[in-house]
Amino acid sequence: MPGSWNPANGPLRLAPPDATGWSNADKEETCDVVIVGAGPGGSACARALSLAGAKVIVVEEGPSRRRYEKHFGPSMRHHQQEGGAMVAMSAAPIPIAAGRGLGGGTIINSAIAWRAPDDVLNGWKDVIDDDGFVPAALKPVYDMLWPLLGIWSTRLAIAGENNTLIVRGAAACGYEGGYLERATPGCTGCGVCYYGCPTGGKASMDTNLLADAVLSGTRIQAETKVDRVVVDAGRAVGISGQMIDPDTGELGGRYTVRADRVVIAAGGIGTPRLLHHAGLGDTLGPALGEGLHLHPGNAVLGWCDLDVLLWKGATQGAYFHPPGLHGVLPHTFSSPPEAILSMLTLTGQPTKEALPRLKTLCGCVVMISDTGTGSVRAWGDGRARITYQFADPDIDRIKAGMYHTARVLLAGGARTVFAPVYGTSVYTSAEDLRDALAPLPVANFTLYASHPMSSCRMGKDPATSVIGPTGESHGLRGLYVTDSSIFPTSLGVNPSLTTMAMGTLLGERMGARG
Amino acid sequence: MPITRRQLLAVAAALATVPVGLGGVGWSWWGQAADVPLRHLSASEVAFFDALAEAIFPPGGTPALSGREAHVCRYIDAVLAGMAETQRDFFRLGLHALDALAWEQAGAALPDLAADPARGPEAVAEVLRGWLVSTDGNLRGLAQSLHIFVGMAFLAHPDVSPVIADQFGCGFGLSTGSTFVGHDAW
Ligand SMILES: Cc1cc2nc3c(=O)[nH]c(=O)nc-3n(C[C@H](O)[C@H](O)[C@H](O)COP(=O)(O)OP(=O)(O)OC[C@H]3O[C@@H](n4cnc5c(N)ncnc54)[C@H](O)[C@@H]3O)c2cc1C
Ligand code: SF4
Repeated sequence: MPGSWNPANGPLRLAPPDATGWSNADKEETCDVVIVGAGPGGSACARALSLAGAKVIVVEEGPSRRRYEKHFGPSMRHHQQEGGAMVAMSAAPIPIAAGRGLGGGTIINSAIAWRAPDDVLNGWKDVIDDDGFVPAALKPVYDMLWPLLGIWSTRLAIAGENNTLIVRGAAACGYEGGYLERATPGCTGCGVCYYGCPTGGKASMDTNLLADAVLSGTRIQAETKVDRVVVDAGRAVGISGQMIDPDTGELGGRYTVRADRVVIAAGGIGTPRLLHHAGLGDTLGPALGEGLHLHPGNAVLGWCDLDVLLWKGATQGAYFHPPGLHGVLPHTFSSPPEAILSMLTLTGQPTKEALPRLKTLCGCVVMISDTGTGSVRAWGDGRARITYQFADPDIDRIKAGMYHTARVLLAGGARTVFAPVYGTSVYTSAEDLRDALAPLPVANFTLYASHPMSSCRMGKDPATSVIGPTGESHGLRGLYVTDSSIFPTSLGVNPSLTTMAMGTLLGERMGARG
Repeated sequence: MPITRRQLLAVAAALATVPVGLGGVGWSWWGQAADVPLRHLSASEVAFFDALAEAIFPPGGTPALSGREAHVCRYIDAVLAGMAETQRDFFRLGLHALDALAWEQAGAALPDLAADPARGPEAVAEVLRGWLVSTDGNLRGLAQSLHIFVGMAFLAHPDVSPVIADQFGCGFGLSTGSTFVGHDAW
């Protein structure tokens, strides 16, 4: 599946593709396949279909060009779904981040690259009743994506002190770990992946799979929020959406596409949100929006004697495996200073006195593969209504992961450690943090999630899944899903590469069927 | 159905716990002329944020600038402009609920507390500290979010960022030999 990529020339690094933006006039188009969402799932599927000769239109809600700025605010307004204000209501509210624009989550993610663990994929085989997604089937796709995206291990020169500290600490504790592989062929380690990569060093979809799909004939309609699936004689035959001026929010014309196939790739929250909002809940069955996994996480921070500059260096460049804790993945993070400041809960002059010390903070987030699940519905205005039920063992695994993380931070150079968990303090030993965390309920934690998935699952049983192994829904012919919402279980590792791999395989299957 | 303050706080906290959940903010809000009207914040909401900003970042010390002088409320106003209308409404309802809570706890709304010469910003800070360590997770979440909003505006002010350390040593505007570079081109 070469596309315009010649492996001999290194990673595929194209200019962001042209996309049509909003307009005031209504517009109607036709094509073979319309894909809603330009994230990794939609982009990979578009590329596979275009290379197979299909006429593809990708419809994307986000802006038609990059709107990165030097501050969180502007980037988030344009490049986060729902302006960054999606929250799962749970015992503790869990903010959920998801990207928006040409590239979806890859625009603002840290580009950490993992292959799905074999045991997870093998577990999917029985649920799906198809061996098209077993490790051996995904391997050639991963093998193609690695050099195409320019995935490499974070180099010391751009790692920054926080990543180095974790690698040092993990080694001192005897834990398996190291620098992370990232899809960042030109990374300079500036640490602001969440704003959109200002150097062009990150392999977001708009520089490779999506841009390549466009070179193969795919067209992109951006600044258009899809709110309807057109159904005719029991079959999905198109979509319809609202064009919106990204600067003023002013509503433009309606945009409609008639197509032989409709692919929804609006993400782990976006796909069930759209399908419920479009009134397809009954048609698509009881599993639509159910079984949401989040990979929730909580941070541990440390005060050091050295300058760490938590906001510099490869955004998330190091990890370790805590011994005996399956599905617990601590990895570093970058954070703007104001987010750290709020965790110190200071007021008055002590806040100002803390400012020069912020640069000595180090930190690591503890992410888990969750067994708890949630549900996604849509409010009347189209925003997502998300609920989530924590499973007790999950919070115990977060706590255990935080203990090991505190050990690593202290071994790596931190003098003291603390966590944004209500009822805890600052400690000189990991055991003291562990003991303080032990009795605390999940409501005391400051959780965060950016891997929503499994809310529109693939499987053989329509009672527990929404789509079958071809990507087509059980309940509505002609309607497909190819994004992270299709994972039958929690993945356990950062999901974008597996989303691309699944999108590619499903696109190839659709293309082969003509 | 009447909405209770607790429900209100729950919704507002849920909407506002997101540290990165910020709308479109022109990044030189601090330089706006005083007569440029705010788009969303009312006079009483400006007073609320000024009181809060002054309590978190009082005048004096390093940097000498205070939260009010950094025009934090202009930043918040721009944040609101980037939100969907329903989110904006919930967010503002949350502010009003907090102001009412301050009244209940300290006998005055935050701006009045701040203006009272006998009590002043330290009294506002005390109320805020109580919220930040409250056993009510929703109240704590909302207070923390406002703290982040205010911090975000203050820390990005050109007088303040050097105190923290240079944040953007590389990045925006820098070429790395990629096919497309430079923030201006976007
Ligand atoms: C801050 C952050 C950091 C992350 N870090 C990593 C990492 O380092 N490594 C990793 O593997 N993963 C990471 N992830 C997760 C990863 O980015 C996502 O899992 C991945 O992007 C999901 O892909 P997707 O195709 O399912 O959906 P998305 O990437 O969410 O794409 C969906 C697209 O659909 C669009 N859309 C939604 N609704 C509509 C609609 N109604 N009409 C039109 N368009 C619509 C959205 O705007 C979006 O562009 C991170 C995510 C975030 C937010
Ligand atoms: S750390 Fe900076 S240069 Fe590297 S990929 Fe992220 S934003 Fe781009």
